[in-house]
Amino acid sequence: MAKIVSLISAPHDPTFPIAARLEPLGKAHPGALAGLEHFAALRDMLTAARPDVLVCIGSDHFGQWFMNNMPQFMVGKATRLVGPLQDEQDAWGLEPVDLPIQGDLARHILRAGLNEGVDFSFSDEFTADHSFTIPLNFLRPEHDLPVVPLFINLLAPPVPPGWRYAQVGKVVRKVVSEWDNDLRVAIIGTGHMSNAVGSPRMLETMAEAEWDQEMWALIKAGDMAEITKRSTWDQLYAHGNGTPGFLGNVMALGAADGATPSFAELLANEAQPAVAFLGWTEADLEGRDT
Amino acid sequence: MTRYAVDKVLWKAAKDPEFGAAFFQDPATNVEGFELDPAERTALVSQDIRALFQLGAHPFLIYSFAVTKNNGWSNEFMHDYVAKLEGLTLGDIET
Repeated sequence: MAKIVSLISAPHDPTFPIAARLEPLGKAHPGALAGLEHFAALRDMLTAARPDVLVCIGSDHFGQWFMNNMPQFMVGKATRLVGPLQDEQDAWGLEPVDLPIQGDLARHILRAGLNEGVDFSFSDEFTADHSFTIPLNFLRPEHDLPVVPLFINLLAPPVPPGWRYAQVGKVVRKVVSEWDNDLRVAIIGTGHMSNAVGSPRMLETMAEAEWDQEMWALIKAGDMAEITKRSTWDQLYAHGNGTPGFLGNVMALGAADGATPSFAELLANEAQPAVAFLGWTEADLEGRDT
Repeated sequence: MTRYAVDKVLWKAAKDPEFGAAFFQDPATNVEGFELDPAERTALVSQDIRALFQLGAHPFLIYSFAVTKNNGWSNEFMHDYVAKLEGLTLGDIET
């Protein structure tokens, strides 16, 4: 059986790769530097886990999926993961990614998921947007591993309630660990804390809000019941139109299934919208001390 | 409900370079094929960010549209965008 050796939830805000480019010139926003250090810590954690395959959970910011056909949860099973979108490369100077997809695992997650009550959509033709490529470029810059992309809707209402994201996260972990293959698998998710890109409170959410502090306390306490209770679209949207992006973190927390992450940092300052960095080792996931 | 068509025009203007170029040159002609009510049509033709927000267009799409119209993002642009929405609150955006 496959072994899950690492679980991560990291941000995908384009300000981070911009800060990484500016850092050697001494021009990066000081508020972003801690974020670069957190990415480095998670990168080391992932390296130490010696994964063979990465299951990447990301979204799509209307890059290709639109309200003519909007999947809630989707398995990407093309032959390669290519991205980000050209306009994202142009706008933010993002580095391209082109990696093989582990098709056997993608098809296993799809089929086993259906048996576990998750009716995944699937796609054999897509582009992975910045929510995949930014975490991948920070966490595995070697570009040496095959991946399986899972797309989740964080942007277009209605979306499922938080408990469903947690449940699907738990199912993904279960079916991956039941995959009949002796490979080491890491799961990499992504999400926001409070976020209001495009709305009147946009500048306000670029600092730690009371909501961020409350949710962070719940994450630290491992209180999934309260986190999912407070993670409906309406409740999250009330804290910024992009705050439903928190559901990406909820999915990772669901995959953790109550395990405490040994790496947990909240970054909330004027350099970027508030974001969380969470990392679980294999020992963390198994509830062991070391 | 025709909110979907508003979102679609914003989306195409931001993501489809050919449509975007045509739209920003002649918005009135380029929204003709879309099912829009008069207020939506006026807001799109005048590229009125505040009105589009009040009509319930998706904020992320309005923002992407505005970035495209501005030929890219800048800090000054972002502050100007937020100023246009001053005093408004988020409403329903479901299509």
